[in-house]
Amino acid sequence: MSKQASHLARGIIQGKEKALAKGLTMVENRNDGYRELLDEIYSEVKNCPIWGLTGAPGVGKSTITNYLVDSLAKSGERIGVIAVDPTSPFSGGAILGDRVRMMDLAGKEGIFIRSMASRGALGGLSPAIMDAVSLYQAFGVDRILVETVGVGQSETDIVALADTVTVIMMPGTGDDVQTIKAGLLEIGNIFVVNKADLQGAETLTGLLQSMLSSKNSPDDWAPPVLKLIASTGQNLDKLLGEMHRHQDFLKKSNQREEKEKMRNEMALKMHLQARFQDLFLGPLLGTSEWEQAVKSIGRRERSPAYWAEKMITGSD
Amino acid sequence: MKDKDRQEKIQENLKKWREGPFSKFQQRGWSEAYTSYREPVKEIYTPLDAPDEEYLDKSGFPGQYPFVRGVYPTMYRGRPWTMRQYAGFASAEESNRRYRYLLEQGQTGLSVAFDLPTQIGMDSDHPLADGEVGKVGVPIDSLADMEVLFDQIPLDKVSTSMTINSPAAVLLAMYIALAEKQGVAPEKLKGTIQNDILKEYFARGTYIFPPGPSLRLITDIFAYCSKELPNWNTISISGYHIREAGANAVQELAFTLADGIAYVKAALEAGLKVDEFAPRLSFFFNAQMNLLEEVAKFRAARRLWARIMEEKFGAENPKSKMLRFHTQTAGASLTAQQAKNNIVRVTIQALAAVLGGTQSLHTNSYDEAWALPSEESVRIALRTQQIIAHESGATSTVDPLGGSYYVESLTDDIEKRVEEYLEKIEEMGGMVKAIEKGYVQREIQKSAYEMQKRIEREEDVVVGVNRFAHEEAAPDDLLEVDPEMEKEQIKKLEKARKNRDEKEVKEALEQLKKTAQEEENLMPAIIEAVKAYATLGEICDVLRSIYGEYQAPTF
Amino acid sequence: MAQNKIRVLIAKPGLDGHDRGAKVLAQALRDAGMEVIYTGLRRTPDQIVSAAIQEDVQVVGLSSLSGAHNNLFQKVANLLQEKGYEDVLLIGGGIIPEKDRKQLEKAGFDRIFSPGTSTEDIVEYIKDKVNE
Ligand code: B12
Ligand SMILES: Nc1nc2c(ncn2[C@@H]2O[C@H](COP(=O)(O)OP(=O)(O)OP(=O)(O)O)[C@@H](O)[C@H]2O)c(=O)[nH]1
Ligand SMILES: [Mg+2]
Repeated sequence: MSKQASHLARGIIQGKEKALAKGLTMVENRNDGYRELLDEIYSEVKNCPIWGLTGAPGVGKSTITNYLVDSLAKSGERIGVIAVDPTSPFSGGAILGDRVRMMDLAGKEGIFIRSMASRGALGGLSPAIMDAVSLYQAFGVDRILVETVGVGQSETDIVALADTVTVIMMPGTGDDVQTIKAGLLEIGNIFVVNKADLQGAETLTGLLQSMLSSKNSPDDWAPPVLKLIASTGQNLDKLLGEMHRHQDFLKKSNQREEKEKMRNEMALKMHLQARFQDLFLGPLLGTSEWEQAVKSIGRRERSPAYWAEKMITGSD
Repeated sequence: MKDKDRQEKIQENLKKWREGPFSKFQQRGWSEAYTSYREPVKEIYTPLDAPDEEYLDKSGFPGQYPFVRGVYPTMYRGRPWTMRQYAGFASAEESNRRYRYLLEQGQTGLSVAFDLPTQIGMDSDHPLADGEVGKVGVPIDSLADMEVLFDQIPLDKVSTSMTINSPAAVLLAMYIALAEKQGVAPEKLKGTIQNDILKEYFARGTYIFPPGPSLRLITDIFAYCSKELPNWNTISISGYHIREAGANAVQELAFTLADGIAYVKAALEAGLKVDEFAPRLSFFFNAQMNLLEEVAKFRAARRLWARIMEEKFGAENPKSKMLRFHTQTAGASLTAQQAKNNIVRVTIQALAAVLGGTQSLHTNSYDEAWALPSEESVRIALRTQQIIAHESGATSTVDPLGGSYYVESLTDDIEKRVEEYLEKIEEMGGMVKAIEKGYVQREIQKSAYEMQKRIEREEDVVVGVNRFAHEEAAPDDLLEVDPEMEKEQIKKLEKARKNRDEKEVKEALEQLKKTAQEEENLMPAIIEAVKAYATLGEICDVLRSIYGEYQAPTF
Repeated sequence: MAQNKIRVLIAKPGLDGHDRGAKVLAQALRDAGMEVIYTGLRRTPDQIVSAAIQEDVQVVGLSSLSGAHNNLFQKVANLLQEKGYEDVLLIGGGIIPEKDRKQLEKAGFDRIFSPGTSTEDIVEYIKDKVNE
C-alpha cells in the first residue's frame, strides 16, 4: 500500500484542498498508487448531482459555468468544477483556458476548480475524469459541474457522466443546422441559445424548438430551450431553475439510480479498457512480431485485421 | 511603340535576363526574402509591376484623391511633421517638467502617457492600483492633477495628444474644463484623444466597458466635438499596438481599417452625417524595420481609406477621405542587448514614416527595453527626427519613393491583401463580432508566435540577440520612478476630495447616471462632473454600474 | 501506465496589459507538451496562488512589463510560502531591472527571464528543474 496514496486519501476525506489537488494529479497521471487512492476513498464517495455543460468552442460555456457556480456557492453549496479542454494532437500539450472566465471565483470558500486536458481520450472525457468526480465526491461537494468541448464524440460521454446535460449553442456560427444534426439533440436535457444579443438568436431558437418537438422524447421530459445573454447574466437564473427542475424530475421518475448505474458501468469499462491496454497492447508494441506485422501490412500482404487476430490468438 | 508592344518587349528581356545572367549568378549565392506577411519578394521589379497607364487612377497627385502620394499638396516643404514624444511618469509635477523640457528642446506637440490605473478608470487609492500609481505614466485622479500637469503650458499654443481610451471622455472633459480656467475657448483647442476602444480588446488591454456602451461613448464624443471642438481629432484609430502585439503589416492595416469602419458605422447609426465627423478621424501606425514595405504600407493605407470613405460611406468632403496619421517607431524591434544599436533601428524606422508621409512622429529611445526613457535617451530620439527633417533631404519632395517599381507593387499587394481581410471581417458581421469570436486575437497570436520561432531558429536575424552577440552592461542613468510617489498622489487625491463641495459632486454624478441610462449625449454631464472635481474613478464607477465590464475571450 | 505532464500556470498580475510575451510563452510550452493554464489579464496575487494550488501546477510563471513587479511578484512568492507551496518552481519574466531581479531571486524566485530569451531555453530550464 503506497504511503502517499493513504495520506492523500485521508486528506481528501477530511476535506483538505491540497490533498484533493494532489489526488487529482495522481489519478490524472495514473501515477503509482492511484488505484489504492481510489479504492481507499471509495467508501466515502457520496453521490451528488452532476451537471454537464457542452457546446462548440466559444459559445459561452465557461461564462455560464462561472455564473452558476457563483450563485450556487452563494446559497451555501460546496461546488466542484471540472473544465476540460482539448489536448493538442501534435504536441500532447494543452492550453487550458476555461479558468480565465472563472478567475473571480478563485480563492472563494467552497469552490474548487480543476482544469483538465482531454489527453487524447477518444470521447473527450477520459477515465481520469470519471475518477476525478469520485475524488470530489469523497472530498465532499454538494454538486459537480463539468464543462466539456462539444467536438468529436464527447457528447455521448457526457451523457454517461452527467445527470443533467445542458447543450449550449449560439447564433451566427453559420452551420446551425449542421451542429444540431450532429447528435446534440439526442443528448441534451436542456438547450441554451446563448449570446441572444447577437443576430439570429430568434431563428436558432425557433429551429431548435421545432426540431425538438418533432422528435418524440423517450421519457416525459420535454427539453426546454432557453435564450440567454451570459455576459450580462440575462436569464441565467432561469437556466438554474430548469437545471433544478430536471434534477427533481430525475428523482421523481427514479432515473437517478439508472444514471448512477450507467456511470458505474462506464467507469468500470473505462478502467478495464485501460488495463487491457496496459496488459495486452503494451507488451506487443515494438516486438519483432509487431514490426513484422507492420511491414506485412505495408506490403499489402495481410490485413491489420488478420494480424490483430493472430497476435491475440496465435493462430491464423 | 505602343504600350502593349513595350510591355511584351520588357517581358521578353526580363525572361532572357532571368535565364541568363541572373540564374548564373544565383548559383553563387542567393537568399530567400520575404515580406512581414510572409510573401516571397521577387528578385527584381520592373515597369510590368507598376505600369504607367495606371498612374492617374491609382496615384494621382498629393492632396488629391486617392491621396496615395500624400494628404497635402506641399507636404514637408510646407510644414514639417509634428515631433511628438510620448511621455508621462511619476506625478503631474514631474511630467509637467518633462513636457517643458521637451518643448524647450524643439518638440512641437505634447503627448501624454497616463499610468495604468488612470487608463483603467481607477483612482490612485483603488486596491488594485497598489504599486501601479505613476509607474508607467502620469496619474490623473481629478481636474486638480490636470491643472498641475499643464501648468505654464498655454492650451491655445500647443497641440496635445492623450493616449486614453476607455475613459477618454473624462480626460477630454478635464482638458476642456482646464482650458476654460485658462481662458481658452474650446474651438481653439488642438489635439487628439486616442479614444479607440476596439484595439484595446485585442491588442492593448486597457478596456473597461463592453463594446456597446463603449461605442456610444465614442460617438457621443464625435457628436460633441463636431459642434464644440472643431479642431480636435476625436479619435486616433490605432494600428500601432496591433503591430506591437505581433501582427504583420497587412494585419496591422486590415484590423485598423476594420476598426475605423466600425466607428464610422456606429456614428452613422447614432444619426451623425459622415462629413460631419469623418474629417476629424485620425490614425496611428507603427514604423517597423522593413523600410520599403513600411513606406508601401502607409501609401496603401491612404488609398484604402479614401476608397472606403468614398465608395462605402459616400463621403463627399475630401477631408473625410484623407487618412492623416501619427507614427511611432516599433518598440518591439528594440532590444535590451546592445541598447545603443536601437538608435540606428529607430533612424531607419523614422525614415520610413517620413518617406511614407506621416503627419506626426514619436521616435523611441534606445533604452526602450529597459525602462521609460531617460532625459538623455529621449533627447537623442528627438534629435534623430530633427536630423531627418533638416539634414537628410528626405523631405525635399513629396512621396519620393512613388514610382519605384518595388514600392508601387508592394503598395498594390498590401492593398489587395487588406481588402481580403476586410471582406472576411465583413462576412463575420463586422469587427466587434470578429473580436468577440476571438478571430482577430488568434490571427495576431499566430503571427507573433511564428515571428518568435523564426528568431529562435535564426531565420530572422536580430543583431545583438541571435547574431553578433556580446556581453554588455545595462545602459546607465535609467529612469526610475520613486515608489514614494504613490503615497504622495494618494495624499493629493484626499486633499482634492476634501476641498470640493460634496453636494455638488453628488448631484453631478446623479445627473451623469441619469444621462447614461438615457440616450442624451454624455459629454456635458461628464464635463459638469469633472468641474465639480468628481474623480476619474467615481465617474467611471457610475458608468460601470450601468454598463458592466468587458470580459475578454479566452485564448 | 503513468502519463505525467508538466503543468504550468502562466499569470499576469496587476493591471499590466502586455500579454504578447506571456501568450507566446504559453504556446511554446504547450508545443513542448506541457499543460498550460493561462489566467488572462489583471489578476491579484490571491487569485493566482489559489489557482496554482487547485490546479496543482509544478510551475508558476509570472509576467510583468509595467513596473509593478516588486510589489506583486513578492506577494505571490509570500503567499505560496504561507500556504506551504514553496516547492513549486517559481519563475518570472518581462521588464525587470537587474537589481530587482537579484532581489526577487533571493526572495523566493527560482529565476527571472529577461527580454530576448528564447522560449526554447525556458522550456529546457523548466524540464530540467521539474525532472530534477
Ligand atoms: C509590445 C509593447 C507594447 C504593446 C503590448 C502589446 C501586447 N498585447 O502585449 C503595446 C503597444 C500595446 C504597449 C503598450 C504600453 N506599453 Co509597452 N512595450 C512593448 C515593448 C515594445 C515590447 C514588449 C514585448 O511584447 N516584447 C516581445 C515579447 C515576446 O517579449 P517579452 O514580453 O519581454 O517576453 C520575453 C521575456 O521577457 C520573457 N518573459 C516575459 N514574461 C515571462 C513570463 C515567464 C513566466 C517567463 C519564464 C518568461 C517571461 O520571455 C519572453 C520571451 O523572450 C516593450 C519594450 C521592449 N522592447 O521590451 C514596451 C514596454 C514594456 N511598454 C511600456 C509601457 C510604459 C507601456 C504603456 C504602459 C504606456 C502607457 N503609459 O500607456 C502601454 C500600456 C499597456 C498596458 N495595457 O499595460 C514600458 C514599460 C516601462 C517600465 N516597465 O518601466 C516599456 C518597457 C517601453 C518603455 N521603455 O517605455 N506596449
Ligand atoms: N455577445 C455575447 N458574448 C458572450 C455571451 N456569453 C459569453 N460571451 C463571450 O463569448 C466568449 C467566449 O465565452 P466562454 O465562456 O469562454 O466560452 P466557452 O464556450 O467556455 O469557450 P471554450 O471553453 O473556449 O470552448 C467570451 O468573450 C465571452 O465574454 C453573450 O451572451 N453575448
Ligand atoms: Mg470554456
